[in-house]
Amino acid sequence: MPHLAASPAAAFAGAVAGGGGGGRAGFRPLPPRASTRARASSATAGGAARTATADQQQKQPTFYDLLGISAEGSTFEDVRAAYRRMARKYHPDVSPPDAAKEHTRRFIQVQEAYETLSDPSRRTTYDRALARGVCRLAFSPAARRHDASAFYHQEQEEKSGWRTSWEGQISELKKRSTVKDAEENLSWGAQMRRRRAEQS
Amino acid sequence: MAEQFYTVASDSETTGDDKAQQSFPDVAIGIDIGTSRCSVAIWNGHQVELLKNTRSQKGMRSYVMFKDDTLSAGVTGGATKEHAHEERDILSGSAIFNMKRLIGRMDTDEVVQASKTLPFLVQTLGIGVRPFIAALVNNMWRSTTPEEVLAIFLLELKALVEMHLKHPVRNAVLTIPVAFSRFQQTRIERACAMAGLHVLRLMPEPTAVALLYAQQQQQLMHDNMGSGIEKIALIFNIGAGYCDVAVSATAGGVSQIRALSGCTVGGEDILQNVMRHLLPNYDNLCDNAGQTTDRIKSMGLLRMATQDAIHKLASQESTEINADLGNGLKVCKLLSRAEFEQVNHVIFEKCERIIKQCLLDAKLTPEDINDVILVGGCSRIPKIRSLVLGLCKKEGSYGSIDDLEAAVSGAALEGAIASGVTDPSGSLDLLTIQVTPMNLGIRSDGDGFAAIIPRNTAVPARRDMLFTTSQDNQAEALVAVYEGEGKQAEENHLLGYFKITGIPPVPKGAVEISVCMDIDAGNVLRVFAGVVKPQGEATPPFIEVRMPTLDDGHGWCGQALAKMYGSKLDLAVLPKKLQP
Repeated sequence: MPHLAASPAAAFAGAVAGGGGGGRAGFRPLPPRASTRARASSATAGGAARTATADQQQKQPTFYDLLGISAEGSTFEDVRAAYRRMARKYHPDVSPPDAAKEHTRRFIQVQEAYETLSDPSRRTTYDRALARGVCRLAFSPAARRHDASAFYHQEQEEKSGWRTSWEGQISELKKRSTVKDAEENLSWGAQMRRRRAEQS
Repeated sequence: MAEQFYTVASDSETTGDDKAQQSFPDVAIGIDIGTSRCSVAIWNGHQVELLKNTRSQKGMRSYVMFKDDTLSAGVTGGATKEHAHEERDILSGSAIFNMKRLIGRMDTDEVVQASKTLPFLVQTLGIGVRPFIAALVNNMWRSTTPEEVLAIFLLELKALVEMHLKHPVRNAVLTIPVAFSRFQQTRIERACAMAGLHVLRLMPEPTAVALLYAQQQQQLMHDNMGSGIEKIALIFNIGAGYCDVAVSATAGGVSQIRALSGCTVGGEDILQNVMRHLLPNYDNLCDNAGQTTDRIKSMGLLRMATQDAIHKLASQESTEINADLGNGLKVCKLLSRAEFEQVNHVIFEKCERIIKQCLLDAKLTPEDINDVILVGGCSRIPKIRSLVLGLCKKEGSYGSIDDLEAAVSGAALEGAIASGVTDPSGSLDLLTIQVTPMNLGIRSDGDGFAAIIPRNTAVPARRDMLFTTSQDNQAEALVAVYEGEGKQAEENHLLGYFKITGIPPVPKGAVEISVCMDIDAGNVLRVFAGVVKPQGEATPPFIEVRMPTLDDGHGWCGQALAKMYGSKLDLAVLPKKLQP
């Protein structure tokens, strides 16, 4: 399913940055960056791509940065409170007219951060990606396409979403990944399989 | 209000350009144009104030009376006449009302078909064009349009405010039903432009109520030093023409709409059901006899008697109807509440469905709801109250809101906030975060519909999705933009279309076409589309299109496109296996 594949149009992050009507220039894809897609999609396989995307990620704010909260220990209530605080700052209804365009762009980013972090399963997926230092840049089009096609292929999404994370877990298992928090992120089934694999 | 009826201030269909600049010094007023009643409210510097007309009414009848060369709307109309008199005049054929139900609808629409029983002329051809609407003036039918009728009473409302404020007003926040399509919204904007008003925001009615609720909660917190715990409210609004539901999460003055749903069901349908029940050959009377003065008079009398009975049934278990409709037609019947509820059970089921849908979309259960707010004229019907409260598992509804004034008050609040007004006491320290009421997407994979911005997405919003070609060497692709809940494109409302040309000649599925949808702060929808892969010198520039582009909500445009081009210009959702 398209939404889960890391995106071809990585340059579209630029489109978001472009803002409203005037975003046309930013909307044109930039060929060099489009190539990150290949690395991103092979992210679960690890390798050289990891460092490359990780470098890029350093420059990208995380969803936590956008909401101004810390990744550890922020509860659902914290996320909601932070979202409200940011919405009051950036929502176009309350922003000064000269900054409306820029604030609208920021509001859309804050909204995306909130939608991801307020949904336990999406937050888990995002946290896992962050921990690995790969894959989901804050504004990767993959993340956004994930939302967009949610309606269109809801069922398939659930299946393939499950499959993708399962595959990811298996590959980690195979690599005997030592990522500390991997255990709790694994599904029950995967934990059982891992246990069995370790016993054998 | 004798001379200038309305002036066409702007003939342009697009008002979005000036929407972007919000530097108007004046504070936007709040207007609620209901199917049967309208009202106007202002921020007076300290609080929201509803304005009264010369007859001290805050809720004024939504109609326009056509007489000789003068037109007058319900705002000022019939200055000192007795109520019964006025009602009879309104139902005499020379007044046009219920235009909020008809605006932006084609004659194939069942709502338009049902409106043919109204006591004025609604002529249809049944081919998907605008209905012909006319009022009886000196025994002649004089044509008008829903936009013109709305513009006339908007103009009277504007005059009322200007008289009160003693300075001209230009900006307004209007409340609209959730079920309004984007095309209908453009018609409202057009009516406003005709009346010299600029639409700052269009707010779904229950969201305006939610904002007022947020203000009250904020006030409570200030008074009691209470905690900022988030409160979930379900707002149910049913008026004469439409029924809407919103679920909002409120804390710290922020009213975040979690989900919206609505349908075109209201008091008018209830009224028609009861009339049909009282007079078994009602449909024959309406359809076959033609629009004669006698028939209009009979229908008007029946309408009045029925309306009266429905009002009485709100407090009584049964009521007797005795009406002489003329021409030997008489209605004598004892109508019980049980009978009334039986006759309208389909309407109650529809209400139930949209409440359940809204809760489902908000991912909440009845137990999560803190307050149930009932607004709108028909929310006083006992069955509707018990139904909503039952579904929300509540004993009673939220009491601190006036069921007829809440929407317009909320609109005036939003008008002040969006105009940049601040209040030292903090009573405008509020924000409403709105969502899209319907899916927005394009036709793809044959007759399928790919939602790019799903319903209940917070606005402003920007989303994109990748598509590909369905034919080898396909040079052009059609982007047909639809709005609605159907899984098939044709079940939805066509907003417009355009072509992407100059696609490189490659096998099908090898190109990547991005379609991006953007809704800005003023709720303007723009669609950007173009080829993103392969890239090269010859790649054509992206196309940006403001929607809707269709002048009329012509559903048959979509069919004509399909007939003309078949699958030649089809797009398909890009499948994962083709993505590298």
